[in-house]
Amino acid sequence: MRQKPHGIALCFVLSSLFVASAAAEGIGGLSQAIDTPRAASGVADDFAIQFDFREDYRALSLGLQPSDWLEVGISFPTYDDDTGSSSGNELSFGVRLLKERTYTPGLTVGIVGFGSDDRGSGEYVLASKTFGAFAASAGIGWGRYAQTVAEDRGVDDGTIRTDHLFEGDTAPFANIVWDTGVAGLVAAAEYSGVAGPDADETLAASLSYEILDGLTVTGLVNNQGNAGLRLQFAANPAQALVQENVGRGPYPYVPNTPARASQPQPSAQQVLVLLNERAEKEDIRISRFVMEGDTIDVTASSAKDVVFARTAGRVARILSAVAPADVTTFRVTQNTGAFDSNVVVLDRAGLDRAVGAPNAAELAWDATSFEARPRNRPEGLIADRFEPRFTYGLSPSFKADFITSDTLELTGTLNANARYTFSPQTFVSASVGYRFLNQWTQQDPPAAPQPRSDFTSYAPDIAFLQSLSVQHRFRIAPELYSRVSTGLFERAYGGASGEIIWRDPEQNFALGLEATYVQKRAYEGWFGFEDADATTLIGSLYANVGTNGNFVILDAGQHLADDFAVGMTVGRNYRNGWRIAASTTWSEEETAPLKFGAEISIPLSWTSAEGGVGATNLSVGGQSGDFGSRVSGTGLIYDELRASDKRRIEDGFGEFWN
Amino acid sequence: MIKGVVCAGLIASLSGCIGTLGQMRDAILNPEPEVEMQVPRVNRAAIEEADLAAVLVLSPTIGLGSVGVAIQLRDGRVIYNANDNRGVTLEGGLVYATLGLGTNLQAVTTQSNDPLVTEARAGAWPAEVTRTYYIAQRGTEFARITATCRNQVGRSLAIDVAEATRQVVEVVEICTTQAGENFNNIHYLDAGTGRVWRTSQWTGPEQTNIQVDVIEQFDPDA
Repeated sequence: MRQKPHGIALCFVLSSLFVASAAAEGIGGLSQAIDTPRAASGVADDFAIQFDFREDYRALSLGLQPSDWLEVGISFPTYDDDTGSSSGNELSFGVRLLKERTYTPGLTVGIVGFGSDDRGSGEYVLASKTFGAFAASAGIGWGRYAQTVAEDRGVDDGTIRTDHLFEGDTAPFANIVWDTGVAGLVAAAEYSGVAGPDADETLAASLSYEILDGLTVTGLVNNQGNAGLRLQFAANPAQALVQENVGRGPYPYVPNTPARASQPQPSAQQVLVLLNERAEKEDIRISRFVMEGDTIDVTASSAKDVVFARTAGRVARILSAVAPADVTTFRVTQNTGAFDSNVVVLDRAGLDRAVGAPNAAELAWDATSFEARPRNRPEGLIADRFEPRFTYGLSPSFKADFITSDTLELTGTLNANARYTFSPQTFVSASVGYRFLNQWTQQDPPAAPQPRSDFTSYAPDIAFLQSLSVQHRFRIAPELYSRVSTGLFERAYGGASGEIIWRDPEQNFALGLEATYVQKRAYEGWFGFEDADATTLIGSLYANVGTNGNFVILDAGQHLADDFAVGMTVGRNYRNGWRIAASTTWSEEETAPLKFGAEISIPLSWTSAEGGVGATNLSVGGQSGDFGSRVSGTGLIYDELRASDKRRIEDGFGEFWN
Repeated sequence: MIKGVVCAGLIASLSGCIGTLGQMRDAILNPEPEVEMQVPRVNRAAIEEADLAAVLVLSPTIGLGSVGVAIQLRDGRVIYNANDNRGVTLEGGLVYATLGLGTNLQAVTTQSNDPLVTEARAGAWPAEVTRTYYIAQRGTEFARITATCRNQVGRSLAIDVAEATRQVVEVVEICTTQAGENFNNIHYLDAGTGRVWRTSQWTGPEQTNIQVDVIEQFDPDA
């Protein structure tokens, strides 16, 4: 049972409307029952994003599992009480000291809010045991697990203290979680020795429902008269991507035996008809076909399959059966929309040797080479005729940002988008936004416009023109990709931008250079400008590193505040299409790293019933500081080319024969 | 607040969130049924008349059954192909590869005297056999899972294989992978020749066991 991806994000917001009143808080991204901890029982690469909504408490938490025995939680809580609101950034650890065995319990120790004096900081030790569908944990806690508001903990005068850990008052806790086995329903109950306004001990109960794979909504209530909602998206990006339609196989590969040469050979038109007919059943679209000499050259794409190696393999399987015997090379061109990004050249004899072998993917890779698309190609028997088109849609976006040093504040914007595409290379697009969720404290415009720190001065509660720009992408040479764009790129800037990227399909890196001149947009109104401008010139290195899908992006150059800054993004492309990255920036104007950000890209095939080759993108952090910032919305080319990197194709080559 | 509720309601309608709530209700009231096996009807007469080697393949993990006919003999292995290109490759009685039956098995390598490959009679099987299973993973190199199987000869009985009665001997293989995972294979061998008429074989950690019923044996001389 799956649902539209934007539905996931919107449910987060809707749920906040139903929160009744205050309750205790979560535990910083670590494993938990309701508000008490439970055993660290996940596996390496588990990943979770969690939103907690209470009247006096809200938090965004990330849970990561670097190994089977270690959990790391990063949480951004905001607490409201009689004296106002307070926020923090909590780093938490959970360590599984003993794994549960048949007759012995597991043992977990955790530190929540390490080095923090937040009221959510505390420590615990617990034992755990599962009994069929029931998982029970019991332990003792310090800090927030022993006191209503944890005191005398963590940072003191800027020094990270550790002498308070596992010291002071203690209180017991216990919880039990029951997987009902019915439609993703999980019930939990817990006891905590922490007193509240209505009782000396806290008893709580919750009911969770898994709306779709990995997305869980939880309602919780306790005997202190409080209730809340929690939404969690959990997944393991190391898990294999389940193939679309696992009940269908590829066409059988037919080796090119000498006997076939003596049989009547099909014409190009006959090959095209059979290829189209069979490819259509595989959801593969053939947009160009040429059969000339010993080569068949096709442009192929799949609207559903993110693994291009599998698409190429399925095309090769079909061609093996329908191509004339004297065709020795299959060329499969990969197209990104604006560009033909790769020509995957398959040696037919090599594939003949590979098919069915225990190392069939390695042998097929050996029979594969990469080329840039030549500027001049023979005319195709079919070739795409592009029809100009108008598209439009709605898209919500959510931003969790830090306006001040440590306050997490959320904004939610609904964007109405429209695009008119003149050709695969050229389009004009516009987006009108309306901020329907606003936790920013609105500021008056500053006396002099600032690069980024004035972004709370842009007028709220009205529809605004987010962007209006035209982009044209083109190739200067087979390995040189370029783009020019002009217009209003984002809420704060409009101007003109140009970019050039050198990218050799055989290499695992690319080089880019973007030059942009912008004028600061007016704080009010759709089209006006402030009296401030900026020029940026940023060079980029995009590199795939190693064989695990790791990548590094380095950006360096002149940024919006006329400062020289260096940005670094490191991340990993997972085999199943997930992409997770973190970034930071240094500027010559500051001695410390300016900001951290994280982004997660989840293939639509995980989150949408329709599947597809697109992705749902989530990001945390952002460009709220003046230094080290660049203009967004100019249309960086590498975002379109990255899926075509040779290493991405190689990553998927195990699926070539699937 | 009213504005927020109206906006949220509008967005919910557009986004499918209300559909999610509806699905939640439906799931609670009407839990989804377990995967049911769809077993195709085998037209034995037609297969015999066409003189085709054919197998019935059942994949319990995805609840699909298919009748495949032999389409290629490659390196001593017979490739059977069924509807929607579901396929199984048999090396003797060993399931060498599968396609379209779940997460796919790329290949299996085994020792030279593997009785499943040579189709030895039940009493002539070696005490144990070691096989390596190849499963697609990230990159160009397949993941390898090596398992050692010991066997036990079981009952002699008559089984119905696609409307034909076969006298068989049951052989159960108890297998352990190098990682310590266990699985079982069950084979029903012809009481006279040792050829496999029915076999349930492990084909990977996700796809688990696949059952193959041999409707008509492949005869290379036919």
